[in-house]
Amino acid sequence: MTTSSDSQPPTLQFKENRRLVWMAVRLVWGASPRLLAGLLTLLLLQAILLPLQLVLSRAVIDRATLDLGLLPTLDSIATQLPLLAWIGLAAAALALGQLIQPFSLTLQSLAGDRITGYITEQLIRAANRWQGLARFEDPAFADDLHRARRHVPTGASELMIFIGRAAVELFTAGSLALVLLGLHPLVPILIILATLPQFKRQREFTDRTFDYIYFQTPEAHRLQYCREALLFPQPAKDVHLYGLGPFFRRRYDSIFASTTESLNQVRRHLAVKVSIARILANLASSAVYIYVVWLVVLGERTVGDLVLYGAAATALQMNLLALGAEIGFVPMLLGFLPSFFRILEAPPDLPHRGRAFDRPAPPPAEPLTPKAVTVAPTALFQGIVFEKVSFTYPGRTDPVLRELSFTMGKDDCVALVGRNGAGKTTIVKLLLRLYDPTSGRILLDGVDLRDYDLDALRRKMGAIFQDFVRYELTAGQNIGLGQIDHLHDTARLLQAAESAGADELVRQLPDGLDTQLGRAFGGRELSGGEWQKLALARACMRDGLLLALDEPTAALDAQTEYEVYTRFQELTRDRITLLISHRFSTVRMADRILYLADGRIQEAGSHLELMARNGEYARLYRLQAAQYLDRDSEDPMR
Amino acid sequence: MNPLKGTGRGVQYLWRRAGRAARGLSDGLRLWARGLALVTSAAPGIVGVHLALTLVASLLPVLQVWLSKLVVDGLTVSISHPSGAVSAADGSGQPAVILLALLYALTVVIPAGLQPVQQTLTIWLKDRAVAEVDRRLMDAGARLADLVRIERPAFQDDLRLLQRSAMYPSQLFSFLQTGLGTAVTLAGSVLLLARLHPLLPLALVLLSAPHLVSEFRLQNLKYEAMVSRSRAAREMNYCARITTEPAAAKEIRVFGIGSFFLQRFHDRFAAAYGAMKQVRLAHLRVSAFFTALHSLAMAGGLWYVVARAAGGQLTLGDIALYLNVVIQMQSRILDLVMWFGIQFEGHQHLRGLFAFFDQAKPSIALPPQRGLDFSEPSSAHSIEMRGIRFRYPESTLPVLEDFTALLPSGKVTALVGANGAGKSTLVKLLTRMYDPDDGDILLDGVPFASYDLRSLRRRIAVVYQDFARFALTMRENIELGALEENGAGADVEDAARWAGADEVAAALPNGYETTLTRRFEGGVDLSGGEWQKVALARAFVRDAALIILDEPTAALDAEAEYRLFERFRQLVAGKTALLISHRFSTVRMADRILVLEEGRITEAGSHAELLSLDGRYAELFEMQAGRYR
Repeated sequence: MTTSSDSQPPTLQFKENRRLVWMAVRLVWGASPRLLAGLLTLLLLQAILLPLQLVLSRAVIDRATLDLGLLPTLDSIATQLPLLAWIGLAAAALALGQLIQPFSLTLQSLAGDRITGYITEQLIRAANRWQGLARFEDPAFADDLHRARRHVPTGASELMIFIGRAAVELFTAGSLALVLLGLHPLVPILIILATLPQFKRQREFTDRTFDYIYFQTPEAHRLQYCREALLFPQPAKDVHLYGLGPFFRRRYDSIFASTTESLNQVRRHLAVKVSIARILANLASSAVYIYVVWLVVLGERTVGDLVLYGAAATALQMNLLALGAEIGFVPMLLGFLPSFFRILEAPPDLPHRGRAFDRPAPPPAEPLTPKAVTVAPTALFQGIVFEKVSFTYPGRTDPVLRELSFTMGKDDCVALVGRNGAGKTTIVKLLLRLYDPTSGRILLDGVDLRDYDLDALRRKMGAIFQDFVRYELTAGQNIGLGQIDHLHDTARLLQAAESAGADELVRQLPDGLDTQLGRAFGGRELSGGEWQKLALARACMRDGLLLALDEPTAALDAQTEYEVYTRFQELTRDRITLLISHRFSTVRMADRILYLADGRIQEAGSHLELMARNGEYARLYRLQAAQYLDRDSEDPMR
Repeated sequence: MNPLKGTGRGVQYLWRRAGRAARGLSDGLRLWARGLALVTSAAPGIVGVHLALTLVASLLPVLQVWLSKLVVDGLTVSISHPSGAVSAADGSGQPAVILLALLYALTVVIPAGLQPVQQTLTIWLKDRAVAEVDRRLMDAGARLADLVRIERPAFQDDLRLLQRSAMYPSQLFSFLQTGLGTAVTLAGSVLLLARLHPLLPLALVLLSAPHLVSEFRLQNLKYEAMVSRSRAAREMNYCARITTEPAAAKEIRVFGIGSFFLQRFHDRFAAAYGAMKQVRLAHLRVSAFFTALHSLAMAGGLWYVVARAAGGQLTLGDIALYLNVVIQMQSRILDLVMWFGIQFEGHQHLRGLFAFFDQAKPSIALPPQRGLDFSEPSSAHSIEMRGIRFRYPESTLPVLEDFTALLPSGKVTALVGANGAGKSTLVKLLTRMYDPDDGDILLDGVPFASYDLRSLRRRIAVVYQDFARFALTMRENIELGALEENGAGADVEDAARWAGADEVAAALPNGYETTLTRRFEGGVDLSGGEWQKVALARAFVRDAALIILDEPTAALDAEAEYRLFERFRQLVAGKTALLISHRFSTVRMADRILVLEEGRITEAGSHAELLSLDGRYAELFEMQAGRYR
């Protein structure tokens, strides 16, 4: 934050801040307009009460002076009402000033609660709008999202409080200035002028020194990481086994020392400057006080005037100082907002090409009705074609896929093999339209994937990924999320569990499908393999046209793996299946196998064809098979 | 709010209330003292200066009010004696009033100059306090030494609270500044009022006391509402996390379930907000009631003071004094009440934090004095597990039941079993992350618990199934395995070659110096298979006598897996090794294979022996091997 404000010219930064404040105000207002309207009214009332209290105090004193017969009246207002009435009014103003506070505090807290919820909801909505993965895998965006989620909800309520307070200060200052005009027109101007240097200094001070080291900076992240490494459960095993306590401790100390040293120098330097500026500002209000004392001594003013103007000058001074401090804080509070607005304002990441209704030439075999085309087909007739598909991840230069072409026919099961990093998972991501190809196209029944309605298209696709998700929900929800409209269809859930071999697991759970899973909410923790069965069941909920299996059995034991694959035929029937596995015993079951290397298909064909070809696939197959079969078979590495 | 129904019962009630309040107070004070001691230890000098400045800055406003009264009185005297007014008009007769006014000006200017200094000191202290707490937290985390506490589900909640609590001690000095400052100013002002009538301050104190008590009570309620909504809050947080973090992004899009989590968030928020609103409104009712009462008392006071002044018993300066004090106090009393309320939550934080510091002790049994040293190298060690029974603290079902097995010295033992059979639990027992409930683990015939824990672990290398992925450089990620022996001198690159991680490093922008995380700028994240190689290298760099690999190749491709096990035999030559895998291709090359079923070993022997036994192992092997034929 500091670095960015250093690099920008101040006027531009000011404009940017003003824009941000305005956007933040609109955002906060959207969260709870009624609460905020109420709060604003109270704050305004609070702002005029202080000057009112002072004016009434003067009236009380002047009237009392009059009643004592000490002074010929200089002021006409005090004479208008009897002493008792003035006392009553002054007391009422004092009481009101006190009573307003609990109300405005409560409204403030309630609005704060609302804002926190509202903003988090906005973030979820924004993230849900992104249909692809590119934003999530872009570190800059992921960082924005993380930061926004962590800081904006509380930051926005703080900002609301600050803006509210600053508004009160401003109005109070205005009304106090008006009161002081009654003393001498130059008095408020003098006080305001004397405060100006302090405004600037205070701003500098907050900008540079409130940037606590544990606040937002990269160093703060590193410090926090050191702490988490020693406290969080996930790395705990390695931390204790390898005795890493001292390592992270030393690291923390050295980061801390290097950060604070430079910061403290700046702080000391700036504190002196602010101090001088504040003294200057207060000298002005003190001068006003002494001036009024002098006027009273001369008999030109009453004692009541001294009470009024003396207090008003001090109060105006204090108000302006507080205002300065608050304004100084604002840029810091705004620091989080740019990431938040970048997220909210991000355009759709996978734009629809707007051609949903004008379909290219209908397929010759069985023409589809136009209605089926606007969404996704209900059954595949031709299959899927990759046409010279190339893909490079955003922000990288080396392509993962290079002009890749292949077809998957109706009801085909295609397996992808290749080394780690050969681009197998990328193909799955493209097929599910989590990314769009950099060049080339993917056709589903002759129509580009980009021309289909995305929701409808995805509804026809199922997938299980290597890094499947362990939802901290019930077992039933873990399965049912595969087909959200059937979330409560118990029969369907159990059927999916059975196809995935998870029926036994579900039966063993204390509350069956309703068992809460995962540690976070005190549910039942499952082993990796058990989680995977649920993930498989989730994929089975979909009766899609396409099923993508990315290493679906990596963590399963031999028995379960075997069971899953005996069901394999059933799982893959009537749909196109794309399978990724390092297990050649599984791969060989596919109708067609594609061997990938360097982003291209090097070999393609059925298991038998590829074995006959005796290329790289055959070598790798034998390599693995030899470990199961007798040792005296040929050494595959040669 | 009205306990005085029957006088006897009321007195009893009040007595009990007072007793509880006193206990609470002394408890609170002790926590405060400990918190202050903690922060003070971070920067004793600054703390002293800070306190002195706070005292000065809070006494000056009282002096200011007093001086303004004296000025008014001085002026009134000059008015009531026209001769004085004449001499004042000459500009010579009122040096005293002008001097007082100048003194008054000083009381305004001095705190203004002090304030930035105080602020700087506060920030300074805050930084140091945060670091001090962090250090103690890290020490406590390191002291835990095992997983018994860390893996308990409740620990997640503890940790969440702890992270918030960790910030609290750093605020102690801001609190001290406001609390002490406000209290001193208030006390001074109240004493000034006593001059007007002794009952005035008494009335204020009597009215404020029940307000303070109820404020404390309500804050308690609010805290509990927050804790009870903690479940809702955590669920909200979970919904927000899962929809906005990359981990689940793929599935959420493919299955179209983003709106499910959005709805869930919405519902949970509505519930939590409703509950919180109730508490806040209850709070408002009480504080509005007491504030109104307070205002009435002040109005009465004003009437009294003015009436007395009109009667000549008090001066005009006294009216000014009263008004100044009342205006000054109106925000301060509420400040103090709120401050007091905040302390309640603060105490919970301090209590949680200190409880964590105090209770951070290993749960496993440590040798009474210095344990046996396991660090001197000797060629071969055997591990025997005898009649082990184990269940996780929070669960009812035992994982291991009468488990007996031998890891012969210098041999590779493989362990196979279904998901959930207890294989990974066994690894935790072997690294003493837990102690068995019953039975013994013997190293060279001596119970595990007799060895010095560090020297024992120093000779064990493990790749856990869910190994840690540290947000450090690749070199550091590997080096950590040998930190305790030779640290930076370890041959990282050699270990990496053994694990096949050298290829990973070669593909990284800065090679071994690349930071392996997306969390920090310039970092790169690795794929599952690549991370696995790094974790293997971390285990291999260690000069271990016992090597344990738990599913080390699940994410590796065929060739990498083959190469790894080709080298593995060579790597573990002369060491005792335990290998856990679902891949029978890997398992079969072990010297001895153990089949784990329902918490017990059901078959044991070499691959050939177990095949000829034609039992469970043979069946499982055939399931995988058959599909290659």
